[in-house]
Formats: sequence, structure tokens, C-alpha cells
Amino acid sequence: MNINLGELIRLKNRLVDIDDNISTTLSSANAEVNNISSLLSSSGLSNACSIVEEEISVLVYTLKTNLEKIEEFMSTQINKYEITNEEAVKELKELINLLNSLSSDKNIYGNDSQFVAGGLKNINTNAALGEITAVGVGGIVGESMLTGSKFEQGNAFQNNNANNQIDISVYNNKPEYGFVVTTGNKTYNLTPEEYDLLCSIVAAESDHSYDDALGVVTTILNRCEDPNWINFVEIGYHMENNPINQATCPHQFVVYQHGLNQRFLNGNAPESVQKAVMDALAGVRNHDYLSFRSNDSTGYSWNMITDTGNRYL
Amino acid sequence: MAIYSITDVNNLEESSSNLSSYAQTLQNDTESLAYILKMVKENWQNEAGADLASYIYELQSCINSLSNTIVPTLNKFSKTMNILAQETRINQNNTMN
Repeated sequence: MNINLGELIRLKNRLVDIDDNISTTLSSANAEVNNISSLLSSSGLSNACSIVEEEISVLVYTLKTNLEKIEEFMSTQINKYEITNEEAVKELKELINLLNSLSSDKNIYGNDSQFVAGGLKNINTNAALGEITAVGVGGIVGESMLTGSKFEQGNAFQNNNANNQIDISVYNNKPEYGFVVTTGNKTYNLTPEEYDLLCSIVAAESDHSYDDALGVVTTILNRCEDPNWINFVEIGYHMENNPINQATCPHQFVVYQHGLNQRFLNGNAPESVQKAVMDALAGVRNHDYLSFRSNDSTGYSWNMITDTGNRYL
Repeated sequence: MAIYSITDVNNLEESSSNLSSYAQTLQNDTESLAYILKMVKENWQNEAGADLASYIYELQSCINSLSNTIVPTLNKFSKTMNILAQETRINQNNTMN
């Protein structure tokens, strides 16, 4: 099974919404068809409408019956997760205790061990001294390091992370629309050039607020982590599945394909975008969505973190 | 040739616009449903047995019906009614002239 608990809960909630939405929308559509039929005073159209109405009733019944079964099945799977998670909770508590003891020493780079996603990993002390560790606000250390060879001393990206704190107070939550800021997610290494390119694409795609910029970059990283999104090799592009390739692959982000990101290159992306990208690469996310469309695509979705930002689904 | 007498063009246009919006909403929800079913299939179909497969099969039929019949029909209906409303307005103007 490749699906995690958070994603399973999100999908189950979405299924419940769909169950309600489709039935309601079909009924509303049917009412409009009947209204039009009455406006035209056509017996032929009226008969056709009756047939459509009957078909829709059968469809709604079949949908509801089977969706309820799938919802029930997913609830069972969620409960199973909660039972088997006891061990994970125990392990997590131990990790947090150990992290607290490391933090209290104020010398985490000098210790022989540190956390990575999934458990404890021994590392070479000297090697650790040459690395900058991204630390989530929740106290979980990210799994990857920003190595000195990739970032020059004095680089803002490096310094911010070197403070061992990510300021997430600038981000807002909208749980009712699926936006919750989380830390400790998968982290990524980028070269300065790659970071600049990613910032330019996010700047061209977002409304430049912290929230929408984080939303855009989260979408890119979610795609990297979703086994059902693009498999580059399968579609004939023999390249690594990483944020840059996800953002620049043909048919993905139109702003890159059309060169609309160019004006934000060379450090010209707004500070809010640069921070959002930097935080996301260090493990911050604000949703589980895999796609978004522009604000004027009103038929696409109403899941927005800002009123002027993208619509996520 | 059938002749339709439309008494309330505004009402027709509003209903037609609503229909178009409902068709788009249905299309979005159908795509989401298809994605969720795909995830369920990939994660559990082999271990969960025939019941789950049967629910998925039924829902897949519903998705096909929505995508291939209901949504295109609503779109076509809406488009046709829009044309009808426009023609009616033109005729009304001509009559007034």
C-alpha cells in the first residue's frame, strides 16, 4: 500500500463531498432542464426530459449506494491505520525526547547522531560540521542536508536554514479548504541556479503572497512525492523525479513553457516567493493537492488559500 | 420545421447558463471521483476481494455515464438553448423594427 494516512483521510473526505455534490448537481441540472422544457412548451422535449429524469434517478441511486460502500471501506482502512500507528507514536516520542536533549546541548552538529525521516541515522561528526541542517519548527530535523559545496557562505537561503528555525507565522491555515501548514515533510537539495529557476516559476504562477506561493511550490513537491503523478521514464523523459524536472517537464507549468518566468530569474522573484520556496524545500507544506488553476477558472475549484490566488484540486 | 414560442428569454438564458455551470461542476467531480477510485484500486483491489471490485465496477459505469453521456448532453443542451435565446432576441428586435 503506497498511500499514507493523511492522504487517505483527505481522499475519504473528498469522496463524501463528491457523493453529496454529484447528487445535488444532477438534481439541479434536472430542474433546469424541466424549466427549459416548460418555457418551450414542447411535448417532444417534455417526453425526452422525463426519460432523462428517470435515467438520472437511477444514476444517483447507483452512485450513492456504491459510494457509501467505498466510504465505509475507506473508514475501515483509516481505523486500521490508527491501530497500527501505536508503534509509530512510541517511536516518534523517543525521537522527540532525543531531539530535545540534542537541542538543549545547543551543539547538534557535534553529536554523532541525528534524525532522518523514518528513524535514527548515525552520521560522521566531521561530515556533519560541513553541512547545514534544516530544522522544522515542530522539532523534527529534515532528512536532507544543504551541503556547503552547493551553497556559498553568506547566501540567504543557507543562513535562514542555519538558524535552525523556520518562521511559519507568515502562513495562514484554511483547513475547511484543505490548507494546513505542516513541517517535517520531505526536504530537497537544489543548486543556487535551480533554486533561482524554481523561484521564478513559482513567482510567475502565484499571486506573490506567502500563502499562495507556498501553495504553488507545495503542488510541485506533492507531484514529486505522488507515485501516481508523472513517471518520467514511462513517458519517455529519462530524467530524475525532482522539483526542477517536475516544474519544467513539457505540458506541466505553462509559464515556464512560454518563458513567462524569465523576468523573475536572477533573484528577481519577490521575497515572499523566495521564502516560500526555501521553506518548502526544507519541509514546509500547506496542502495535499496535486493541481491548481488560475483564479478566474471559477468552475475548477473553490479551494483557495487567498482570494486572488490559485484554485487547488 | 418546429416552431417554438419562448415567452421568457431571460429565464431561458439563466437556466441555460446554470446548466453549463452544473455540467462543469459534474465534470470536475467526475474527474476527482475517477482519481480516488484509481487510488483505491491500486492500493486495495487485490487484497479486498470481489465486493470492493464490484463497487468499483458499478462506480466506473457511473463515471462513464457521466463523462460520456450526461455532461456532453448538458453542454449540448445548454449551447442549443443559448442559440435559441439569441435567435429569439434577434427576431424580437426585427419585429419591433
